[in-house]
Amino acid sequence: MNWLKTELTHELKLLSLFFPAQIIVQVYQSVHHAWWAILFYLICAIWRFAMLTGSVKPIGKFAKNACFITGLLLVVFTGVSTNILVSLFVMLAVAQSLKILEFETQRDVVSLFIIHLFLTASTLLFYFDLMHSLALALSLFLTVAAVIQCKIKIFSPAASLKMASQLALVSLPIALVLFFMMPQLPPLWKMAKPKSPPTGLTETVKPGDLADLAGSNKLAFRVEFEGAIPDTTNLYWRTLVHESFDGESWAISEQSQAWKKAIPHKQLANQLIDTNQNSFLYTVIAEPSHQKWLHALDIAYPLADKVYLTPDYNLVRTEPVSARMQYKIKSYMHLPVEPYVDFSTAQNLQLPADENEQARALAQKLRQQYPDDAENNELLINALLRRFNQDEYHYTLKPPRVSQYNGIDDFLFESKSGFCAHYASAFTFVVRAAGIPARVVSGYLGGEWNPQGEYLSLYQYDAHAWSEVYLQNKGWVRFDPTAFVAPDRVEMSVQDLFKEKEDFLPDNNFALVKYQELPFVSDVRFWLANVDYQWTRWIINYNQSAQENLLKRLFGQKTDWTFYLYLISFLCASIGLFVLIIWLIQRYKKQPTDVVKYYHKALKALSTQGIDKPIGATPEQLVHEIEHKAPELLPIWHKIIQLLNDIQYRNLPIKTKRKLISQLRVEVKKMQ
Amino acid sequence: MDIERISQLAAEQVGKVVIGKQAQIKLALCCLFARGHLLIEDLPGMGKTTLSHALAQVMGLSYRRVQFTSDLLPADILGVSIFKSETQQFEFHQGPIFSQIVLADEINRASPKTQSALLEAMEERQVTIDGITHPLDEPFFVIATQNPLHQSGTFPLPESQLDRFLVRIKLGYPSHDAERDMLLQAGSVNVSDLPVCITPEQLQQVQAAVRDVTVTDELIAYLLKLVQESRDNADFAMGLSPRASKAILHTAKAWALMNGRNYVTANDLQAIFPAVTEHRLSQQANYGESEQAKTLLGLVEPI
Repeated sequence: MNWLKTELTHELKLLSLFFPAQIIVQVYQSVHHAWWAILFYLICAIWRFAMLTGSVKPIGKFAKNACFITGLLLVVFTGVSTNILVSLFVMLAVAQSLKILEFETQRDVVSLFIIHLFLTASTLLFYFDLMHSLALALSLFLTVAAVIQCKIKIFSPAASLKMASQLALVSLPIALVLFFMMPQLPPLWKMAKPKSPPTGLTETVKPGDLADLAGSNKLAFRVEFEGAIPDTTNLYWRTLVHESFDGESWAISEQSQAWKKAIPHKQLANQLIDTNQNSFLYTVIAEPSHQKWLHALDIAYPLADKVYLTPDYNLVRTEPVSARMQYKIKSYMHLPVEPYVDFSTAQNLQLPADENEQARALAQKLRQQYPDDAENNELLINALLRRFNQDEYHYTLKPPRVSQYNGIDDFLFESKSGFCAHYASAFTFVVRAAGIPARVVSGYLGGEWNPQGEYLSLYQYDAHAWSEVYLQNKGWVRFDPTAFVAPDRVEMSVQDLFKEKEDFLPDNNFALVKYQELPFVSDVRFWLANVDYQWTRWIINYNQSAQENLLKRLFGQKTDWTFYLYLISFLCASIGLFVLIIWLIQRYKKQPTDVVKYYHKALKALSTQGIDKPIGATPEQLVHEIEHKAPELLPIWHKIIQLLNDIQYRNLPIKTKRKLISQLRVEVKKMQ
Repeated sequence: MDIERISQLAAEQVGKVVIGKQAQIKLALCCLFARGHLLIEDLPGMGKTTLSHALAQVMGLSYRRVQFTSDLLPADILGVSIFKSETQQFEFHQGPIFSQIVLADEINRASPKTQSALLEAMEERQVTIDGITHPLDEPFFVIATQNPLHQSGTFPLPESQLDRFLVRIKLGYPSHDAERDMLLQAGSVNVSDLPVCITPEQLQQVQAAVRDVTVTDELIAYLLKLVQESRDNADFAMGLSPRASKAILHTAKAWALMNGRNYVTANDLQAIFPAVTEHRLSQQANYGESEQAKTLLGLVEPI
């Protein structure tokens, strides 16, 4: 273990910077692509470390080739067992591992750096969250320090890190300006994203499903309002409309599916909207759900591209949401007054042929009380809702299991306790059985206000289901039976409602949201959420249209191509100027090192004559030796001594010194 | 005033009586130009006394010699108040220290008490006796000589007092030729025959000029690296103190002037470095044989 005592060698210094940097990207690659990548890397890195400390012999040609072939086989194996794309990422990781095993020259270090850049970029394709970006930035920073270490050998790793941070500080403003200002071009190529299972609400809802979602504190989406914010009682975020019931679960009707497959024209519903009403303008940032459905308040008028309003008044997109996406919505708080009767009437009366006889009987009883009539329909619904309110129904996150076939009966007449979806499902069933068109809507209710970022956050536990009933002359009207069982749910979040009970997020003791009462925890949670939100808003979702908005705000000008041309040339010019200034400052500061450089060149020339300067000797002390061994160099050497002394030790104006330095360069050249 | 020339002249004149010791003579002159006290260390009979006497002579300064012995008392150096019966008053009789150049011969033979009295006077440049302060002459130099410690009957100077001396030089045996020359011209040149080469006014001007010598950041950086190395490196028992670094710089400035420059080069610094630092770096144990200053110079690159 003698390496601990002596100073680190050049390679060890490099390894100490490369290792932490590369371990970060390698961990990402192994988590996302192939677990053995990190193993291969560790073996190579530790092997190299052992070689550098002298614990094992330097690697031979045979062993090197064996490593290369192993890596190659692993890449091929990955390509065969998964797909070609994954094997390409893995190839980069393997290349890095192999290079760390044998890096020697500056060229090797540069290729390590370039591989690292590619690995970082490829990791960013999958991990673009703030925390991941910070980790990757750290790793990139360490690699830059390693390159500096390679160029300036006398530096300690700490000095390299210091210089790297100076570089980072200088380049950060440039990077930011370029990121925000450089015209965004459409991507030249597109990577096929692997399919991921959908998260959040699903197209088919079983009453128990939503209770499961209530156990998840994952973010669903966030909303920022421009201007007024609706009442909490109106924060019903529609996501899906379920019109087809098979006795157990509610699904999207075939018509809707068909419409979605061939999204025709978004004007379809727009003409129905009464634009004179109050409206709310807001932006939604949706978390990836890997589904095409989006979230919005009633009744949404999309202001974003490729987002369409379906005939059921929910929003749909042509592509699944596979990354965070941002869209702008204008919502009118009332469903269209004009009745919009169409193919859906039959669909919204559809019921399975049999089962749930008690519920049907209940519907018949109510129908007899309130014979078929537009006015009576509302009375019937109210009577049904009263039943939920006055009878002993319970709102719970842990509903008892119901039988597969008579689920509605079991719930309505036996257990009498359930989550929102049970109530919405049973309510819709009975209303349909009474001959009134109705449907189940799933989405999210309420939202948590982040006072620091001034936006609403909706989590998966905010998932909710309610009903819509088609009333003549009124159109689709929202009824939330849950509100009659647990009126507090509409005003409060699930989190507050179940605070006292243990069953909110039972499996998640570390969720910060459980400890909201502590003011510090709540502040920290809001702050973290806000940082993440701003990151998403400004970095991840910064696209062409966001840029146009920003430029319009900054320059108040129409952004046509001449403007972009000016902008680009202005940016190039200012960056050029910036670089020039830095270069001049460096040149000004660098003069002494220039002197040292030339002096070392002269010494090198002397050592070819067999004259080696002992450590600590001044140039004057070499005169004697030069006189003996290379008398022809003596006059030049005297001149060099004079110049060195003048530059180093005399109080001369900087201009004169610069002149002397160029003289020194000339003299040193003469020696070579 | 050409400082290079007059110092050259003075060194030549002193060289007439201390033969073959030009380097030490120059260092001694440099020490005086830098207003420092000089410690000469060597065996008896090497010309220590002659050197100091010659220095006083060429600079035209008053000179007194005190032979230190184990029974020498502070009053013997500083002076004493004596009651005069005629005037019924105490009258102060100046000791030998009231002189421009004082040769404290064999300083390590006196008791610590006496050594301290001298060293205190050197530092303060004044003497206080019976509550009355008497300023010493200006310029005031102490040239002390010291025997190697392994000789019997000596009291080694502690480190804290050693570094009151700006420069320590050793004379050493003369070379073969030098000794022959000395023997051949024995008695032909007397110290008292040497001409005055530097007047006291000139000396004052030189001393003032030393302060204005240019020192660049690069030189300071080199000096600091040397000092830091002496503190960090375990080979050196005692690191150089800030007083030492001040002393090095000041002496180097005087050396630069003596070489006709008004800026200090690394070469100047290296030239005076052993003489200024050796007695501050090495411990008493390796007295006389030490090459620590040279080792230190060999550890740090000047450029």
